Amino acid sequence: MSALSRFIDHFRGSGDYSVSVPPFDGALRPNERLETALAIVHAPEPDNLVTLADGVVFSSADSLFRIDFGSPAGSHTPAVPLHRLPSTVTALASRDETLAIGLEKGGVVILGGHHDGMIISALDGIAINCPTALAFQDADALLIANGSASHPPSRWKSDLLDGGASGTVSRIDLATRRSTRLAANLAFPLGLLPLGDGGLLVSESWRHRLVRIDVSGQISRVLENLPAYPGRLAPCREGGAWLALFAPRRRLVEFVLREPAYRQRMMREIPSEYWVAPTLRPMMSFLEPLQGGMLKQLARLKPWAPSRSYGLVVRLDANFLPVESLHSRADGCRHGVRSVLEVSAGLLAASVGADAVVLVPPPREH
Amino acid sequence: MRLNKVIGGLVAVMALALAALPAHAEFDDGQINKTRTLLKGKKVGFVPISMGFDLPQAWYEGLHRAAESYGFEVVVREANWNVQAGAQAINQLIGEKVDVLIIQPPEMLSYSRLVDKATAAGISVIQINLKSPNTGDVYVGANWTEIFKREAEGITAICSRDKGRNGKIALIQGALATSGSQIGSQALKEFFAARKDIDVVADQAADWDASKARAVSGTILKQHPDLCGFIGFWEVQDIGIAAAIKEAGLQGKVALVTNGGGEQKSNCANVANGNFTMDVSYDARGQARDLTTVVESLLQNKPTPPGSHPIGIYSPLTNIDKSNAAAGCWSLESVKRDGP
Amino acid sequence: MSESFSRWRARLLPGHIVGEILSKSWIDNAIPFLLLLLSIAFFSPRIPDFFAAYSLEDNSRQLGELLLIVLGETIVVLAGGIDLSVGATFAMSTFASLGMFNALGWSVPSVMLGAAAIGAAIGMVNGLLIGYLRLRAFLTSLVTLIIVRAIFDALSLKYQIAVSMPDQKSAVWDFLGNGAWFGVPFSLVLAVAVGLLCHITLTRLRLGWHIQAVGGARRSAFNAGIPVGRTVCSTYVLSGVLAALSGTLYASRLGAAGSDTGIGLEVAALTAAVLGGVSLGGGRGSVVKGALGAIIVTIVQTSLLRLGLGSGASEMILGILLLAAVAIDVKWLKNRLKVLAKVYVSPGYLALPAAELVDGRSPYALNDRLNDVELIGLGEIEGPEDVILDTAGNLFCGSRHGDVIRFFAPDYKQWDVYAHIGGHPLGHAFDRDGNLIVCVSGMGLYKVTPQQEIVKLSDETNRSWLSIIDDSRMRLADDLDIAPDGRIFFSEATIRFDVSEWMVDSLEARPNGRIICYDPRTATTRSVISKLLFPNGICMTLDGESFLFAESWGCRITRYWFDGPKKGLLKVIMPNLPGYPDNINRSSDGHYWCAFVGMRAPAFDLALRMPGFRKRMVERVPHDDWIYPNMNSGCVIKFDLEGNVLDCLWDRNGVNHPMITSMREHKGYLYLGGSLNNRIGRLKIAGADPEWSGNRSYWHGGDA
Repeated sequence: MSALSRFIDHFRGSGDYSVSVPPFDGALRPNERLETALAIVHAPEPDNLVTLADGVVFSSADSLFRIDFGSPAGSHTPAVPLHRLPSTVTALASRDETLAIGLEKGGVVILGGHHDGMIISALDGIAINCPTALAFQDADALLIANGSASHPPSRWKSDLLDGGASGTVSRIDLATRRSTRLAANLAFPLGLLPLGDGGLLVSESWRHRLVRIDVSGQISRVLENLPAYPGRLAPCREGGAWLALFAPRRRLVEFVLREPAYRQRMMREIPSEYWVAPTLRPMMSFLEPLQGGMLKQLARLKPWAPSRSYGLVVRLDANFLPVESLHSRADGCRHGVRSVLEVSAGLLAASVGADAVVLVPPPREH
Repeated sequence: MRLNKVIGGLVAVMALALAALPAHAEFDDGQINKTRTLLKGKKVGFVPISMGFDLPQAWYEGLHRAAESYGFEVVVREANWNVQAGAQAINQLIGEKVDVLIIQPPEMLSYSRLVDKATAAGISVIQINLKSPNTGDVYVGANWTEIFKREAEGITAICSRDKGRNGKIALIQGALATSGSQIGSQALKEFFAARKDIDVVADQAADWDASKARAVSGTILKQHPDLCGFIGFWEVQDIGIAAAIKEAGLQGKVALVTNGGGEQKSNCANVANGNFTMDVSYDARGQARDLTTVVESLLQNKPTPPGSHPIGIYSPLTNIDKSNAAAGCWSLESVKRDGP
Repeated sequence: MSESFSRWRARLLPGHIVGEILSKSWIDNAIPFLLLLLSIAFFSPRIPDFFAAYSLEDNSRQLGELLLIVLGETIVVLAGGIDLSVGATFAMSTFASLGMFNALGWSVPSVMLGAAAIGAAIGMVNGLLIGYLRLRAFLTSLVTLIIVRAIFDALSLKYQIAVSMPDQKSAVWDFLGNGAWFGVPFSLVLAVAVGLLCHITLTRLRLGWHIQAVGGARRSAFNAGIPVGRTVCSTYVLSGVLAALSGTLYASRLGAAGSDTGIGLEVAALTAAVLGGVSLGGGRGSVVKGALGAIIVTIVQTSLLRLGLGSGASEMILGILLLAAVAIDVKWLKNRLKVLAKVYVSPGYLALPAAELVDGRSPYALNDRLNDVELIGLGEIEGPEDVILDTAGNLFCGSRHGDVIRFFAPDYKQWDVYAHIGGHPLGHAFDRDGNLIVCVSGMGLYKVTPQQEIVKLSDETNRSWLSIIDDSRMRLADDLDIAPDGRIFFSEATIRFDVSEWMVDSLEARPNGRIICYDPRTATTRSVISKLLFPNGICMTLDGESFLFAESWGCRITRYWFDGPKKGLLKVIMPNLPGYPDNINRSSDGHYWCAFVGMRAPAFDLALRMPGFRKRMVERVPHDDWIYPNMNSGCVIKFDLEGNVLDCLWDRNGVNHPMITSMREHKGYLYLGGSLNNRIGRLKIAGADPEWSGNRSYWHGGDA
């Protein structure tokens, strides 16, 4: 029966075969809060905002920097270099003094704390080739998300276009070095958020949804049909979570995902910057594909144009439903926000498109 | 009756004997080969009002059995109670150049031009049981004046003031344009005009429809609760009158005379159970036999030109009442099984 | 391997024809016509005498009578009403005709007039009630049906015999119902004549337009001053007269008016109308539609009778047909434009040669040379696709509002509307006498005299035989240039799309364009070169015998000799441009400028080689999300006749000039225009001849 309904869907272009995308509406109605935010730090490709002791640490390419919040808000706060890693930092987690760092070329490095210097390169014999997210469940338990079994983190576009669903989430006990696999066949888990009840919230990017893995290992879907690809999760003071979405879902990309012949030729013959795929930066070169609605009219790009990059951060309430959102629209530059962090002064967002970390003040109470 | 049975039995024996012989060894009695040659391959068109009631079904039985045994074709195009459709069917059959055309005109004048057209096209025309003013070649059917004369006599015998009743009767006609109805209405008018002992208190039409007959006669009974009798124009329609009489609780007190083809269920059964007081039967089974005979005759001996010598084969009539209801009818099942 | 298959398939199968046929206005008649062919195909093998002469004559006679009634019904339905009383009118007229002819002994013409009068009277009752008193058509005509039927029944009860007894013989009377001319029955001849009259009335006369207007939108028709009541009343009167006429023919044919005359006729007439595609809601329909429906109903009815099916079969099948016809009609009406939108765009196969590199070493290297433009008319002009300057230095450009705007020299701050033509004026050129010749998209080739008079030069060219689209009209006249002898060569970018959708032509990538020549000496227009991939800019070369033209989606510049010993020769001088060339104009140093309206991108070039991908995209993805050529970036190049790129100017970030469609050099400055832009750029060119102007170069004209 399901085979028949799938065939009918394929014929009609409905259900799984439809190229429709949910609109930005309700709590996700577009605004300019990300675009008008204050740029605190300028650094190439910032990501992975975490708190460490009293400060905030973020990664930029292969370095870790610390932001000092001592200076008054509004001034250009310098970033203090902390560590230099052998390759690009793709995941970061902290607890007290300890930092767990995931690397582009594979493996996880622990800096600081009891297990300083520990290198985890494989779990149960399977190499960690694509560390996309890390989280400490307690002092000794580290959660590791491996995005894809076939691609490193920088080749995430290929994983999306290949229909990758080979991501895993595992927990390793740092003391005993024993690991347990919590979930497999995830479509590029990019965000991990441990919940108070022992459960775990995971953002599954290519399936554009959030899933929850509870203590018993059961996986349940929490928030589905997101209009963008979900990235990293951060805790929210009022309960719930902050979710960064790093690129929008567009109907042309959805269509290309359903066109194997074109997709394979494109991946074979064209460099990856010029693929019909989501990006983190606004369009820079004319060699990138353009969609009709992106044509500049009267020399202006329309804010609602179907761009392949977008800036979107969403706040979820205790039931993990969106209640608030911050946008940088198609004609803006604060796109590709993979990571956010709530601080006392507001919300920090790391935007790859603008190569800056910005601070969004909390909404004024009226 | 018995003679018929004897002849029938002899025929059956002979048929069996003949069938037992090899086909090509049929004995030539001087005629049979000529007959077979003349009948083989001919085409007969039959346009009844509808194949949905007993009369045309009985007539068709006779035709198609003869057609099978002699190798000619009978094409049935029923008009389905629709004058237009019947006219179309007749036109088509004329175009297809049938040899003999049998029609049952639902209205007196509707097909009269077509009869002339068929005759002009060289087709022999037989009109069965109802006819247009122009005959064609043969009319096989009842003499409607005679039928209604019998009905009128029948009702007078029961309801006449001279017989002690009040003489009130009502007429329930069929469809006014049908020749049977028109002739009947004319005949009854003449019959009762002369008499002083019968009053026609109501004269309505029921369009050959039993429910309409029931509605109309029910109204009449309400208007004239002391009505003595009804004259109905067709047994199939007049079931409705009988039902109205029963509804008014006047069964047995109100007489009902009608006419029909003499089929067991429509005719004798209703007379036996008291629905009809008298039913004038024109014996549709006999008519079937007559029709087949006429068709075979026309096919073998075509009048030249067609229509030059019209003839009439009028069906003998029988008054069916309680005295002869037991054996006075034929049954459609047996006709379909064994032929007319 | 699969790519050559795509190429051959795109070449051999003309997929674009489907969309073009669907966009024709007569396509609505195709469905009932198909139904007609289907019914003939179904019944003719089952009925041996289907095409025999007697059968055809018989059926045509039926058809003629039914057609008269259907014509009346079609007209009533067209005006938004419905006439259910035609059956009773028919019966009444049959009865009355017989009475007049048989009982009263009138002559045949008087009988016909009398019957028509009766039909008109019944129609007038309907018309007054429905047209003037605004009662509901369905119920009112139903009541009329019942009342007239009752009158007929009562009269026929009393007078039927009297009416049917033939009193006089008349050959004319017989001919009405049974006669034929060369095998064509009189009733059909009459019906066809009436049909022609109705068709002319409906399509050419005012009454017909009023009827269609009232049916299409009654309130709007009322507001527009159309006498709605009178129009509606007249349709019912007409229907009554036609039904009565048909009744007379029937009376002559059958000679009797039985009690079931005309029963169910209104259903047959409505079925015929709906089957033919006349919309029951009104406003849509035609005589042809009604006739097609009547033919189908006649064929079905007579064939079913002929097949001898049982009682009720004919009515049931007609009922099912009616149901199916209504369902298809509703669905088709709703979805036709949707289907057309999906089916019209018909992508073809286009394999472009590998683009020239745009990197540091190539002549196309990126730079910021256009950053320092002065802006003219910022925010005041919309859509200046091409700009030109006259001998006095005033600047002329087109706007999307249909104006030719003039900016006054020397500072170009003041402007006025030089001429209001319409459409969207695109390419401009000055001829020898100072007239401004303009290509106006959507309209054609126009001339504006120095006295600001507008003259239409050409809007029609020769129609090509094999084109379904009417390509004698110009949909997108783009750029032009004038030869030394005054001949004007201009490009029509595409014959399949209008100026509002010209970008969709890039998705099609079919050679839909052509270059046309207008000769003012003989005032004739002829297509010169056809099957071009969006021909755009045209520029005369200095030798006066050839011109250069750009093919935008072909990414090439070609030289065509229209005169001299090499006349007719085509030579591609720049085959693999990295962008889409738009307008071409002369430069002061004897070379040529060309604007790139957009740049080639590998993902789009790949899509051009996969027409199936683009077709599915057009069907399943909404318009705004389609992949397009990248027209947010553009540059201006200077090239020579050998195809060498001598200079290249970019607005790298697309701040002022994201899409450059044209550039014009004049007295040391380069003026830039963009058809989606709201400004004109003016850039000083270092080292350019400060006295050089286009007028001088073409006509050796002096300055004012």
